[in-house]
Order: sequence, then C-alpha cells, then structure tokens
Amino acid sequence: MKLLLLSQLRFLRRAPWSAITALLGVALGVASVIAVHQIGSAVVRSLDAAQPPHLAGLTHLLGREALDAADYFALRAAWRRGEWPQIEALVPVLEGHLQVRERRTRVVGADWLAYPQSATAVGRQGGDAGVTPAGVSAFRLLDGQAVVVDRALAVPEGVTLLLAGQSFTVVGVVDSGLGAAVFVDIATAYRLLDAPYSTLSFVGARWRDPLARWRVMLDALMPGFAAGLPETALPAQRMPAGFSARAIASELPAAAFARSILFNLGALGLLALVVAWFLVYQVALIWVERQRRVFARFHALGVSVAELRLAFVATFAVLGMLATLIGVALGQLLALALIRISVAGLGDAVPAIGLDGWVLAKAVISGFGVCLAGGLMAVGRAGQSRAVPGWLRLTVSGAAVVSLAIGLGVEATGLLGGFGAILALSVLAILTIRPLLERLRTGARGKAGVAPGLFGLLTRMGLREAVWQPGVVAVALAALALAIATGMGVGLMVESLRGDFARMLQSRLAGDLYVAGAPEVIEPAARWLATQPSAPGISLHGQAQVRVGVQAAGSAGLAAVRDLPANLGYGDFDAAEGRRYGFDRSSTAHEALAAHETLAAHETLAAHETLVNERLARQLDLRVGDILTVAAGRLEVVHVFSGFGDVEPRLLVDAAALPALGVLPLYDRMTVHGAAGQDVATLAEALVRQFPGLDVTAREVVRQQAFALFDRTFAITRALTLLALLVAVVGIYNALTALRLNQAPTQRLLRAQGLSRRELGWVVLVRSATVGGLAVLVALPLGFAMAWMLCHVINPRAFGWTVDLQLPLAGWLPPLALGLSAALLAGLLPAPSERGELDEAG
Amino acid sequence: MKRAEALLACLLLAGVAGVAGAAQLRLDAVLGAVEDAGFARAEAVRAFRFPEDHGPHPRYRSEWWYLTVNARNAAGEEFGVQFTVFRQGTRSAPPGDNPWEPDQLYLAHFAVTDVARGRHRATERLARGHPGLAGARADPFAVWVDGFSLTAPGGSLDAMRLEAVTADAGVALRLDPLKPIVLQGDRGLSAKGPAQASYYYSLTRLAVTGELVLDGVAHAIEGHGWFDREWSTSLLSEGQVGWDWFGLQFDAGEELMAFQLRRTDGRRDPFDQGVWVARDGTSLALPAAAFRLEPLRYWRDPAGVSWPVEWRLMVTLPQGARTLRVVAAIDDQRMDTLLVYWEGLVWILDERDRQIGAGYMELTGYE
Repeated sequence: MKLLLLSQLRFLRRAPWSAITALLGVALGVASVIAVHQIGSAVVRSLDAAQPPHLAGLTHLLGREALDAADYFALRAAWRRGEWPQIEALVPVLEGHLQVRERRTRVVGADWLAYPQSATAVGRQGGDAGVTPAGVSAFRLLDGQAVVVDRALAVPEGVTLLLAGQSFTVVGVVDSGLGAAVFVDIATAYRLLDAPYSTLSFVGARWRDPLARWRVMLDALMPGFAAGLPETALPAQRMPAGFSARAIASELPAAAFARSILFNLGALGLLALVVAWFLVYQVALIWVERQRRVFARFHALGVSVAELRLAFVATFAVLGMLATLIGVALGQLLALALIRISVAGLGDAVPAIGLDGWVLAKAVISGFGVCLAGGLMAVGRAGQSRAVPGWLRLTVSGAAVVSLAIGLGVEATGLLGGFGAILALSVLAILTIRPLLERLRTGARGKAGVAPGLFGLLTRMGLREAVWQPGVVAVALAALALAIATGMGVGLMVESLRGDFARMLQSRLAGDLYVAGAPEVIEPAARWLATQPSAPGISLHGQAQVRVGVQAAGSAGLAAVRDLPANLGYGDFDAAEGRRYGFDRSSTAHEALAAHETLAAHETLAAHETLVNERLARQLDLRVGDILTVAAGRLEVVHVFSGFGDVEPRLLVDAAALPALGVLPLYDRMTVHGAAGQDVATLAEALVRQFPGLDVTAREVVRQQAFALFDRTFAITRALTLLALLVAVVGIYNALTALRLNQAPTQRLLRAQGLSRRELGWVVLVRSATVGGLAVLVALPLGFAMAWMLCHVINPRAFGWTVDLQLPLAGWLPPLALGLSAALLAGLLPAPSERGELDEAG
Repeated sequence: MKRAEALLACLLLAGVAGVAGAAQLRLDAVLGAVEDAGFARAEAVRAFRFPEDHGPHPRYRSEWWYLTVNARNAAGEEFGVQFTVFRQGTRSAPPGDNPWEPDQLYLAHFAVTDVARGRHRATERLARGHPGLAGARADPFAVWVDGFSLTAPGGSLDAMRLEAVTADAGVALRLDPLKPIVLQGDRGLSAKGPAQASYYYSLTRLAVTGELVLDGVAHAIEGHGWFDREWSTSLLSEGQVGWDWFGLQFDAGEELMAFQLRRTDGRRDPFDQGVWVARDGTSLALPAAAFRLEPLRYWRDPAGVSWPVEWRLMVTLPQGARTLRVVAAIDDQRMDTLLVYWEGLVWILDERDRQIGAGYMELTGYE
C-alpha cells in the first residue's frame, strides 16, 4: 500500500498539470455551488426584510362586507374556542391615508400584541430578533407617541414627526415596500385617522402551512427554490362564515415578483449544482483514465484491484478535500462580488454572507463527496464503455416526456411545472448524446470510414477520434451542451425582454419631461406651465389603489366573484395616450361607439372603458369585453397592454370615469411635451425653481434609469449562467485531455511514421472542433426551446407578462461561440506537462 | 430581550406580593417609562370591600389573579392546573373614550401538569384591555384574556368557573370556596421591603370539579384550588433576585403559604413571610423566623439552568415544629413561556416520607 501511495505522489509530481486541472475543476464546481447558494440566501434575506411589518408572519387577509370590530372579536372568540385550529394568529388592522410632509402617506395601525408572541417586535421576522433594521418592540408603540416609518419618507430615527398635528418620535425605519407609510399602534391609528372605533380595514391571519417545514428545508438547501412551491390555499369550507380570504401574496405584487426572481435563482442554483457534479465526476473519470496504465503495471506485479482502487480513491479524496477548501473560499469571494453588483440594489446595502451548516454541507458533498463517489464509480467504470441500459433510458425518457407535457400543459403547476418542463427537456436532450456518439462511432467504424470523399486523412482521423470513446466524452459533452443551452435560453429571453422593454419605453416615453410631486404642487405647476410663452403640452396623471373584481355572470349588481387590489391610473386618455399602450380605437370592435355615443373626438376611452395590463388580465383571467367591478363602479375591458416592469395589476381609465367609480382625482404626475424647438432643460430648471418640491426628470434620464435597473436585475442571471458555462468548459477540457492521453500511443506511432507536429496538431484541432460541434448540435435546439419556454411559459407564470421571443445574435451567439471556442481551446492547449503525462501513461 | 424583561417584570410582579425595584425599571424601559407618580401606592392598612376588590384596581399599576388546582380523575391520575392573569397599567391617567387605547395590558398564563404521563404544558396570551379582548370586573366577577376566563355568577367568588382552551389542552372547572378569605400580611397589607408593599388576600382552599381535556381525551376531575389576589404599584426592593414561593394544602385540611426572597448578598431577607390557615379557616401570619427552606435536589433543564425541585421546609406551627419535604410531582414544570420560570404541582411529604398533601411551588430568578 505504501508503494501504491508513493506511486500516486510520484504521479502527482510527474504530472502536476493533471492535478492542477483536476483541482481547478473540482474547486470551480464547489465555488459555483457556494456562490449561487450565497447569492440566493442574500436575496432571500434582503427580500424578507423588505416585507411590510404589519404583514410579517401572516399568510392571509380576512375580510367581509362592512367588516367591523365586532366581527373581529366574534371571529377571535370562536378561534380561541377551538374553531379553525389551522389558524395560528389573527390581527386587526386599520389603514388610511394622511398628508405627511406633503406626501400622501399610508397610515397602518395594527394590534401588535395580537401577533404570535414570537413576532411582537414591529418589523421583526418570525421571532428572529434583530434581523431587520427596525426591530422595534411592540411595547414601544403602545405609548401612542412612537411611530415606525418607511424609508421612503426620508425621516431618520429619533426625530420628531408631525402627524395630523400631533408629535411622534420615530423609533424605527423600515423598507416596507409600501412607499410613504407609517406604522403605529391601532389605537393611535384611530386617533390619527379620526376613524370610528368599530371600523377595521382587514383582519390579518396566519394559516398553518402544511408545507412550512418543506419550504424551510428547501430554502436552506437551495435558496429561492421554495418560492416555486404552491401557496397555501384555503379550502372554502374552512373559511369562517361570511369571511373571504385573500393570500398576502396577492396583496404584495412586489413580493410575488421577488419570489419569481428567487425561484429563477434557485433554478440556476440547481443547474450550477448539476453541472458542478457532472464536472467533478468527469474529473474523477479522467484521473482514472490517466492512471490506467500505471494501475495495469501494479496489477501485473500482484497488487489487488481492491488495493489499487483504495489508493486511487484515497488520493482523489485528498484532492477533493483540498479542492473543496479552495472552492469554498473562491465561492465566497465570487458571491460577494456578484452581490455587490446586483443584490445591493434590492436593499441599498450589501448583505453579509456567512457560512452556515447547509452551505458547508453542500460544498463538502459537491467537492469531497462527489469526488469520493465519483472516484469509486470512475474506478469501476475505467476502461469500460457501458451505456445506460435500454430499459432505464426508456423509463427516464418516458418520465421526462410526461413531465414536459404536464409542466407545459397544466398552468396550475406554476413555476415548478415550468422549470420541471425545462429540466425534462434537458434530460431528453442529454439522453440523445450517448446514442449520437455511438451512432457516429459505428459510422466511423464502417468500411468506408468517415466520409472519405469529403475529407483528407488527417481530418478523418480527428473526426474519428472525437467519437471513438463515447464513455469518456459523453458526460462532459452533456454538461457543456447543457451550459451552452442554458446560456442561449437565458440570453435570448433577456435580449427579447430587453427588446420589448425598449419598444415599450419608446412608445411610453412620449413626453420630454416627467414630473412627480404632491397633488397640491402638481396642479399649480401645470397652471404655471400653461402661462409660459410657447406653452408646452401637458398631461396630468394620477393613480389610486382600488379593488378590482370580475362581474359575476348574470349579476346586475356589484357583487364580484374574485377581486384583488390594483393600481388605477387615470388622466386625459387621448389617441396619443392610447397608442402609448398599443391601443388603437379603430382596431377594436368599438368603432361605432365614437360615432354615436358620448365619446368626444379627441378622446379614446369612454367613461365606462378601461385598459388593463397583462398581469391583471392573467390574474383575473380577463378578455376584451369582460366587465370589471372597480371601486364603486363597473368598467369594460377594451384592451390588454403589456406592462414589462409592472409589478402589480394595473388598469387605466380616462379621468371622466372617476366620478362613477367614486375616486377623487388627485394628480401627482405630469408629462410635459415641449414645443418644437423649445429647450426642455431650461424649462425643467425654471419649473424646479418655481416649485422646489417637484421631482423633474428628462426622458433620457428616465430611459437610462429604467435600463440601468433592468440590466442590474439581469446581471446576476448572466453572471450565474457564465459561471455554469465556465464550469462546463473546464469539464470539456478534462474530457479532451483524457482523449488525448488515450490516443497518445497512436499519436506516437503516427509521429514515428513521419507525421509532423503540425499535422498531428490538425488532428487534435479537428477532434476538439468535432466535440465542440457536437455540444453545439445538441445545445442549439435545446437552447431555442429553453428560450421559448422562458418567454412563453416561465415569464407569464412568474411575472405576469409574455415576452415576444426574438432571436437576436447577441442572445444566442455568445454562449454558442464561447462553448465552441472553449472546446477548441481546451483541445489545442498543450498541457505544460503533457509530455510527462504521456510518458507516464505510455 | 426587552420582551423577556417585560415579562420578567410582570412575573416578578406576580407570584409574590411585593417585588418592584430593578425589575420594575426594566418594565418601564419597555413600556415607555411608566412613572410611579400618578399611581396609588399600597402604603397603609385599608378596609377591603367586596365584591369591589375582586375586580381591577386601575389606580394601582400592577395586579394579578392567581389560581392553582391539584386534582385527580376517577382513575386516580393526578393533575395540576395553573391559571394566572396579570394586569399592568401603562398610564395612570383616566382612560379616554378610545377602547383600543392600551392603558391596561393583560397577560395570562395557563398550564396543566399531567403527572401520570409526566407532561407539563403551558400557554401564555397577551392582550390590551378592551371589552372584546381582555379585562376584569368585580360584579359579576370576571377576568378574561383572549379566550381564557375566570368568572362567577355574582360579585362573590362562589361558584367560579374557569374556562381555558388551547390546541392541546382545555379546562372547564367549577370552583367553590371552602374557607373564608385570608388577608395576608398585616390585615391585607403585605410588606416586601422597607418602602414596598401590596394589598394581598387569598382563598386558600376551593372545592374544584369539572372537566380537563388533554389531547382530545376528557377527564372528569375533582380536587382543591388556591386563589390569590394582589395589587400594588411599587413592589421589588434593591438586592432581590427572585423568590421561592409555596402554597401547600394538607390532606388534614390546613394550608401553608411561605415564600423567601433571594437576595444577591445571600442573606436571609427579613421580609420573607408565610401564613398558616387552620381547618376552621382561622389564619396565623408566619414571620421569617418561623420557617426555613433548604433545597435538597436540583433538576437541570435543557438550557443548563438548575432548578431546586425538592426542598426541606422546617416550620414552627401552633401545634409544634415540623420538618417537611416538598417534592415536585414531575421535575420539568418549567413555564416554557417567553420568560422561563418554574411553577408546578408539588407533593408534601412528612418526616416519614408519607404524602400528606399537595400544592404549588413557584421559582423565579434562576439563571
């Protein structure tokens, strides 16, 4: 055994490049696993911290018609008597609005003592003390003079804030995601809002989640992946009589958006893990291949196979442990760098990343564990060319086809189904690799060999060598193809989305200046602008939060069957405004309306009509012609517009619709269209001078900001895809090196027969190009299919919008070219100690 | 930590009449520096008025209703029940018309000891004073916190009813006083320090019958209860870290209450006290010198805290000196609430190790 170990050490010394590439391969695999895990964890934490504090720990909002405090107390008493044991907490909440520092500010009053005992700190998550910036004790708010504010109000902790003429001390600042908002005790809210003591806005509830344990485990194992699990649904028979329940997620569109991003990260994490494991296994396989001759000599000298295997596995395990340590350090650095560029934007602070038990376990399993297992498997398989048994291939293929069909066809499977379909497709593609290689090898073995008429001898030799050992190449080829395809799919989706986004901005950003401010400032500013020489065109816009429902079939009243909160945008909706949202009156079935109804010539929308965004349309399953209940009125859907970046359901109406809806027009935004030749920059400066409270932004700045946000959001996706590709490239390098080692004796023979180094180099180049080409061949259809699924399945399910799939070169060529180049480079790169290794091998 | 401090203060205010000082300051820090000023103080002997005094005393900052039960089912299985409601005034100003104002906070602890199965379970609920949530009144008597309630049909404490249901335990008990009210300390003024005192009275023996449901299994139980009432504004004195309190009911029909305040300097606190209640209901105050407590055995909880679960109690009674052993019915009766303390069913053993009664023990301030 000592001799064996010495031989292993000697091999390491004689062939350091092998050790380095193996070490690098495993370390990169581990690093990718660590980086993806840490990024996912950081995003999960950032988004958790951004939850509105009054909804923390709750799952549903309960309401009923004319909800009052007596309903709440009756519900609570029944719950405490033991009815609805699945409810874990009930919290009364009163909401309203106040003007605070010239901003319309949401006032949220809750009975903080009614939260589960573990969450009696405002802004604290599930009892994890001190995880959020606020972490204010619920008791602190009870004195009626303390308030927690959202960061959007820009009021620091400790200062005195005047609310409705009363002084409050700011005791905490949170990122609630609600914009301008203050959080107070419910008693204080009644006082501030001057509301009758019997009124309540809703009752928050925490429903026992049967999947809670799985969510926690899944999130610990693969951060973000749990976001793909279905929401806890409340069976109707479990609802307290007269009450209706809405999932918190439906009230927090931003949270739903965040969940989708998280799930994407989780899915990428899974990809990184799979590719990394492929790679580590590949490294083990190559390592064995490199030492096969050494083993054969030892075996001839009487060393048993078991001893040989033990020596190999021990060496490889040491290598795995060393690589794991390097990979962990590398992964941490990588994660930190990626978080800095991407995640910081979500929370304005770079979250700390620690090494918990889960991530270390993943690192050890991915590095040491897979090295060990891979080593054992590789030793068992060395020199063999066993294909996957036919029955297993058939079973896996069948399961993949079924998963694909269900994931694509059944929308209720959600993101999990969508990604399941992508995974199934990937499996199907991977399963084609080995048969493809076998077929090519069979072809190459034929009497005619490889296309004798087409290529010269050397080229045919290269082609033949590429497919000669399917067992050596198949795994790495699968990893490379998967990485290229993912890169293509994600790249095409991002580029398509970017294209759609650019077109949307182009049409939406019709004005020269975009002005935001308090309604009491916006309206005088509009009047002032109208008095200016060469008065610019002005359109005023406002928005309100309303509940939108679908009119029950056959119901003439206002009873809605499903409803959800939505953003109602309003303004003067003329034809130009309609075009901004892709709505052309002449193209609709409502042409007649303009002719004989109340529609004025300049108007596009009648008072009973509305445009809805795709997100709202999907959530309520709306079609053009459907009738919506909106606030106190009804509206007919006349168009569904794409709203990339809309994180909440949205509908648009002409201002004339507001009286019927019972919505008070409050204009807080204004679009300014400069007259021809007018210097809008000067106009902007004059406007700000005249009205300092206004926020004036030029079109180009809005556009740049929008793209900056877009690119930052997707930078992390691209970076992770690149990482997967990098890992796969190392894998293919190892595979090609192994091929080269296996064919070393042949090459020496050819060299002895007079072939020049250049000619031999050509053979290697052809071989590498063939392997790369095969990866591309598999990746190309898979990548396009992935892109289609991301645009038409994942995006609609995740974000509520469909992306028009386009095929710009920038989307698919870079990963393809990178994969091919990497294969070529890996094949061409002469390993520094190749000569030594070849000697050793031979 | 602040929550724990708040509850610590509540608990310090609870078990023993008269513990304020440092803990009260901690509570103030949490609740917003409630000034003593404005609240009335227990400073002089007063005439108790019933049924009014069964109800809340919002002029005083702190108050509690404390009930323990030891009982058996038909099979002879033994159970303990503890139900305590604490009231804490957050401001001394008279309440306004907003019922949601948290002028009064109520905290309830409900615990059941199942000796046969060696299990102790505890639940706590915290709510603001609001007719729909928590409160107390004198006539008809009621104290309730978020679904838990202790009520009586009239102003007296006759035929009280305890109702409490949690996910895995529930009780519906009827309680009838078997002895008259005992005024603790000096005619109901119980001194705990040089300038600290509370008003404190007890019903040391109640007949208890009713139903106890544990994990869906109903047990018809019978036994005896103990009910304490206490209110104050300033309780703890400097240098006190916790206390060991005993409420013991003898099979022969007498009761003994005794507590010792543990001091940081390890000395005996001169304000330790007790009371002996004879079969006929007559009572005798016991000064510190009349009894001595000595821990015999400790139980170490999972957090590593050692709790003295077996004691030797040497007490001088009218009929002579007795040396008793007080033993926890099960060791783990830790109140696994936000603040961890120990409160549970105990057995009284005589000099020859025969069980001669049962009661409740409360241990606080152990770390």
